[in-house]
Amino acid sequence: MTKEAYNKLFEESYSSLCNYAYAIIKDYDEAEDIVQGVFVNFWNNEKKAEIEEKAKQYLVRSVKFKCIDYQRKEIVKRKYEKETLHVQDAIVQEPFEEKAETGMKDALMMAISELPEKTRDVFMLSKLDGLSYKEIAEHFEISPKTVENQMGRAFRHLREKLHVYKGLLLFLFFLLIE
Amino acid sequence: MNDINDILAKHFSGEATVEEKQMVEEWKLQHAEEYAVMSEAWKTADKNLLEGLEFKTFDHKAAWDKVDEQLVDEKEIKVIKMTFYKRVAAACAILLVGFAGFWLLNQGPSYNTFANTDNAPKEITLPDGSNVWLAANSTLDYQEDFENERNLKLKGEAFFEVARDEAHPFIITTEYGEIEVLGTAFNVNVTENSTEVGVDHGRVAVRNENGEEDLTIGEFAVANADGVKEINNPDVNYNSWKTGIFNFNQTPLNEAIDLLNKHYATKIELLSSEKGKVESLNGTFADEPIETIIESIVLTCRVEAEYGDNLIRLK
Repeated sequence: MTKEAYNKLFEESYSSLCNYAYAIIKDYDEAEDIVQGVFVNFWNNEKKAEIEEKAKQYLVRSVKFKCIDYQRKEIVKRKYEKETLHVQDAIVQEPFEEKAETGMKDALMMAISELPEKTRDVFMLSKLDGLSYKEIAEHFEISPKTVENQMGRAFRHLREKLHVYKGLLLFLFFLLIE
Repeated sequence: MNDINDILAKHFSGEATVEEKQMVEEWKLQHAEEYAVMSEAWKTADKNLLEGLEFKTFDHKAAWDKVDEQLVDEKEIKVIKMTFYKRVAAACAILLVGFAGFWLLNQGPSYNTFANTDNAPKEITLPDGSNVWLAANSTLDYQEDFENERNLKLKGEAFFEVARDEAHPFIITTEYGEIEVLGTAFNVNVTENSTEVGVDHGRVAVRNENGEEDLTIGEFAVANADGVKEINNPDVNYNSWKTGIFNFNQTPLNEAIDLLNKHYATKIELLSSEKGKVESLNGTFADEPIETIIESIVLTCRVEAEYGDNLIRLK
C-alpha cells in the first residue's frame, strides 16, 4: 500500500474508529491515542497486507483488542485504588463482552458510524426510536419518499459492509441445529 | 422497479406493503444467506448497541500529522557523493547483497516474527484473523504470504484460536513435531524435550517422524523423540497462563506460583522454597486481580506478602 492510499484509508476510517473505541472505553483522548497507535503499528509492522478491505478488518480488530486491554488495566487499577487508597467509589465500566460473537457487533458499529450524517439520523430515528417513515418525515420536514431513499441507502451500506458474514452465520446456524 | 435496498429497509422497519412483502419473499429465495445476515444485523442493532454509539467528528488532519511522524518509510533514497574507495566498497556490498538475495531465495519462504519479550502473555491477530495468545518469552514466526500458506514456527508456548479455512491448513512446526488444524482452539507448549498440545475445541493432528495422534475436545498429547503419545489425565491448569483460570487442588505453593507467574505481569517470589513444597493451595480463581490471590495465599499458607514494584515477595 502506498503512503497516499494509507493516508486515504486513515481519513476515511479515523473518526469511525475513534467513535468505535469510544463506545468501548468512554474516553475520547484515550480513544484517539489507541487508534493512532494502531495505525502506526500497522504500517510499521504489517504493510504486507495489500488489500484495503482486509486492512480495515485488521484495524478494527486491533483497536478492539487495544481497548479491551486498556479497559482491563483500568479496572484493575481502579479496584486497586479503591481498596488500597480508599478512593470513593470510582465508576467502573462494565467489561466489554468479547467472546461468543462473530464480530457482527463490531462490523455493525463501524458500518453505522460510517453512514453519512443525514442517512444515519434517519436510520437512528427508525431503529432506535421506532418512528414510522411518516413520523420521521414530519420530524425532519422532508418528504416520506426522501425517508425511504435514506433508509434504502443505509441498507445498501450495511449490506456491503456485512457481506463477509455470508456463510459464517449459516455455518453457526447449522452448529446450533446439531 | 424499486431498489431492493429500499424494499428491504421497509420490510425490516415494518413499512412494507403486501406487494413489497411478496417481493422480499421472492428475493429471499435467491439470497437466503444474505437475508439471514440482515435479520441478524437488524436484531443486533438493538437499543444497547445504538445508544452506546457516538458520532463525533475527529480532527483527522492533526491526527495524521502525529501518525505520519512515526511511520517508517519504506525507501529513503539518498544521493551521496562517494570517493573512489567508497565506490569500490559499495560495489562489493552490492555483490554481497546479490549473493545474500540468491541465498535467501533458495531458503524457501520468508517469515515474519512476533517475539513476546514482555513478562505477561500477549494477544496477537494473524493476517487470516486467527488469534494467538503468546506466552512470555515465546516466539512465533508466520510465513509472509500467510493468505496462501498458513505455516508457522513456535518456540515457547501459545494458545491458538484458528480461523476456519479448509482450503488452507494451519500448520505449526515445533522442534518435536508438527501440528495441523483446519479451524479450532488449542494450546501448544514447546518445552526443552517435548511439545505438548491440549485441545480446547475442534480437531488437531499432531505428528512427527515417529508417530501421529488425532486429538479432539479436551484431549492432550505429548510429542517427543519417541513419537507422539496421548495423555489421559493432563494437568487441568495447562492453559491457565492464557485463561487466567486456576484450579488448585492440593497444589504445592511453589508450583502454584510458577503457574501464576506465567499469567500475571506482576511476579511472585517465594523466599523460602522449602516452605513452598510443604504448603499447598486449594480453590479456583477465575481472572482475579493478583492481589486477591495473594490475599488467599497469605490466609491459607502461613506466609507474609511484601508488595514491591511489579513484584510480590512471600516469606
